[in-house]
Amino acid sequence: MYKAAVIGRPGTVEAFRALGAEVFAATNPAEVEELLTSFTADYAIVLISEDLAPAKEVLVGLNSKQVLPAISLLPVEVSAERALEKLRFSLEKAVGADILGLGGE
Amino acid sequence: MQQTVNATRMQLTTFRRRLKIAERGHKLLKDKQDEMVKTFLQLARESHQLRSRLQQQLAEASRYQQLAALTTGQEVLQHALMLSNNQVEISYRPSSILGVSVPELEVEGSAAKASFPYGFAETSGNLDQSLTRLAEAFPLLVKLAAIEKAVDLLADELERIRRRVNALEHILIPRLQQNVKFIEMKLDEMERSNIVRLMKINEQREKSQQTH
Repeated sequence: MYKAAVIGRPGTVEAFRALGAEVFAATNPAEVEELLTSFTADYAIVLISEDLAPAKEVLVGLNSKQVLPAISLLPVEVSAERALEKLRFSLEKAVGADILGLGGE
Repeated sequence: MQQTVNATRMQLTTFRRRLKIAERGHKLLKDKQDEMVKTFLQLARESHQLRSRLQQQLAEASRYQQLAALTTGQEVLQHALMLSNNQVEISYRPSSILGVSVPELEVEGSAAKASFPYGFAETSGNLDQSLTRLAEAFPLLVKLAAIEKAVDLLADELERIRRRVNALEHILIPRLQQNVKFIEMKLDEMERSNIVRLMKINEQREKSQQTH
C-alpha cells in the first residue's frame, strides 16, 4: 500500500491530514522542489498546492522520470493557470502544438 | 553526406535489405505514434475536464473551511485537524499504454471517507462540511494525479518516438536509398562498359577474319 503526500502553505492544506494524507509545509517553490526530490516510491501521489508549484519544466521532468509518485497540482482559488500551463507544456512536447486550444500564452 | 560505398552486388543486397527493414520500422513507429497521440489527447482532455470539476469541489470545501475558521478561530481549527491518526492507503497497479508503463491508482477501502478526528463541541459544523467535501474530492484527486502522470509519461515517450521517426524518415531512409541508387547506377555502368568492350572485341575479331 502506498501513501499520499500534500504540500502547501502552512495552515492551508491541514484538512488533508484529517483524510489520512501526510502534510508537508512549504512557503516557496524552491522548498517544494527540494521536498519533491526527497520523496521515495512509498508515496503514490504527491499533491502540490498550485500557488507553490515549481516551474512546469521541473514538474513534467520529475513526473516523466519514474512511475511513482504521481505529482499533481492541487487547485487553489488564487491561481488556476499553473496546472493548465503544465498540461499545455506536455501537449506541446508531445504533438508540437496546443491543439486542444487550452488558450493562454 | 555521401558515404564511401563499395559498388558490389553483395553491398546492394545488404543496403536493399536494410532499407526494407528501415521502411518497415518507420511505418510501425508511425502507426504507434498515431495511436499514442490519440490516447494522449483523450487523456489530456479528460484531465482538463476533471480538473475544472475538482476546482469547484475544492473551492467549496475551502469556503466551508474559511467559514469554520471565522466561527471558531484559526487556532482551534488547526488544533482539531492536527489530532488525526488516519492513514490513507492508495493501491497501485502497473498498467501499460502501448508499451509505456503508467500507474493505476485507487484509494483503498473507506480510507477517504470523512472521519472527524475532533470533538464536535469546540468545532463548527462548517468544518464537518468542508471535510466531507474534501473526502468526496479525494478519490478524484488521486484519479487526476494518475491521469496527469500518464499524460506526462506519454508526452515524454511521444517526443522520443517523434525523434526516432524523423531520424528514420529524413536521415536513414534517404541515405540508404541514395546508396542503393548509387550502386545500381555503378553496376549498370560497369555492365554497359562490359558490353561495349565485348562489342569492340567482336568487331575486331570480325575485321581480322575478313582480312584473312
